[in-house]
Amino acid sequence: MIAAGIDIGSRSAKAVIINEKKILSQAICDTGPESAKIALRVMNEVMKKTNISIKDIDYIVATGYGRIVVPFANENISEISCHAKGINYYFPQARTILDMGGQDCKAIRCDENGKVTNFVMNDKCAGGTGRFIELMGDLLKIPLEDIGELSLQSKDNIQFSNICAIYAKTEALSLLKKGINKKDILAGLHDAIASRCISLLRRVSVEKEFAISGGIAKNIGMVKKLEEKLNLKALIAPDPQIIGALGAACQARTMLILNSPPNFRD
Amino acid sequence: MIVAGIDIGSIASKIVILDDKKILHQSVINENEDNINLPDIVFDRELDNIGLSRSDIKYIIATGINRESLSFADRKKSTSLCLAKGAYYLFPSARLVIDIGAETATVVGIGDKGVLKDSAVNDKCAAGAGSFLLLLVKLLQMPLERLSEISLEANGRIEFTNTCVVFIEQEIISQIHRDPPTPMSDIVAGIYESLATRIAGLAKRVGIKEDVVICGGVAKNRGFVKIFKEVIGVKLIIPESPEILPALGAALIAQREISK
Repeated sequence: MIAAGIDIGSRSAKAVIINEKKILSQAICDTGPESAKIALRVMNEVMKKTNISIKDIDYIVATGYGRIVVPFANENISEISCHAKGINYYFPQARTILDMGGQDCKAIRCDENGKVTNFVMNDKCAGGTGRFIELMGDLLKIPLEDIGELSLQSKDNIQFSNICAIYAKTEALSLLKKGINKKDILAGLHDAIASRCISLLRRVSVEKEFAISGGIAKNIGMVKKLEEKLNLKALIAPDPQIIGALGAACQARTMLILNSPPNFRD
Repeated sequence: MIVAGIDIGSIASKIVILDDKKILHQSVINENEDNINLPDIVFDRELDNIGLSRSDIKYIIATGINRESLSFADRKKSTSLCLAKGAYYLFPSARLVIDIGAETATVVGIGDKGVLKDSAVNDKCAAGAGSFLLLLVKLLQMPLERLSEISLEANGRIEFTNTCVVFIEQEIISQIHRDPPTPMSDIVAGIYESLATRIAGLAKRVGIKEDVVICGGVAKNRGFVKIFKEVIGVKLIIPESPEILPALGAALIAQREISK
């Protein structure tokens, strides 16, 4: 039995192929202007890695912002449920999940089966999303992958007074003009974004077993800030960016098991 | 007795000098340099222009979002209070003042005799302030003067699905790159409606009661004011110099302080 999950996000597309037991392959591509094409590209990529062709895959679930435009998916499921399932794959003990994506941020509560019990979402304001970090990377001319590491080298935490990404940009510019170190500005920005996410988390209440998913979970500076503010150790998957696609693949697998003949189930 | 009110905003500073409730001088200074001595230099220069010196000014009140940065003020007063006083002085019939600045929108309810009744402020989100227009200047490469007119030529109005200015920026870009491209006038009109809706929401929190005064730099934008009037559904009074109301209010309070 082979199942696949595909997650078309606002900034990147992810795909995962699994069988009954484990992950067979995974792939990530940047999202281009046409979702249908990117879906195909990421799917080809993930199949190439494990030498599986589309006819070998029994069921495909699409999720994410662009999930309705995946032409070859059997079904589409919201990314909230998929993130909970994906986290449940690695950390069945997790009860609170923060998913930090390119353009939105979600706080999710789930049960021991990875079933969503409550969630809140910010997709209205760029403050507290990956877009904010991208903007600051552009402004300070630092590549995205170095941002988190650099912020950790700060010795002096600058307090940002703004949540709005537009205002924070102005604020960061005037700090730069004053000669404030880029590292300190970055640390301050990470602090501001973390506070924003935590206020989202508090609305669903945070439990000790807490996981972070989404591309921003790869930013060590962000993870450390969240851990420090929550006074909790975060559970982070080997590749947090594919959690949504993994969850979709798990949902696809569940569909196969439910629809298979009874003698096949065990 | 000569007094001054100085309003330090996020982009511009405004100065009003009063002599016994008569406006001697008013000016808007668009100098946004990170020079902490700038207010000193500018203030002396302005005084010099009208043949006065620092010693002639008996009392100075600072207001505006960056009022704390003004070192030489005798006192500091909130923008809301100064707005109420300034608007009541110019328009005694005013009961609501809507001030749309670059990074802050302030709505003030005025009671009888010009007392400040209630206020609501947005200084958290660029989608509800003038910075929205600065985005358009940059993105559409259109000067503010043209922006003020272009929406009047619109045949349609784009409805934007996002709230955040960061996300709307992408929406605008995709409108520009349509085939055929969406007319600039329709894009601008859509942005004005989006901003108008947010400001009207802020105004409703205070309660809309006529007469309504609209001020701040954005009040000079004719296209926006037209759409805002339509959204809020009441007549709007626009002062001759819409930017100086808080500074005027500050100067009026200064006047009262020394006559005590």
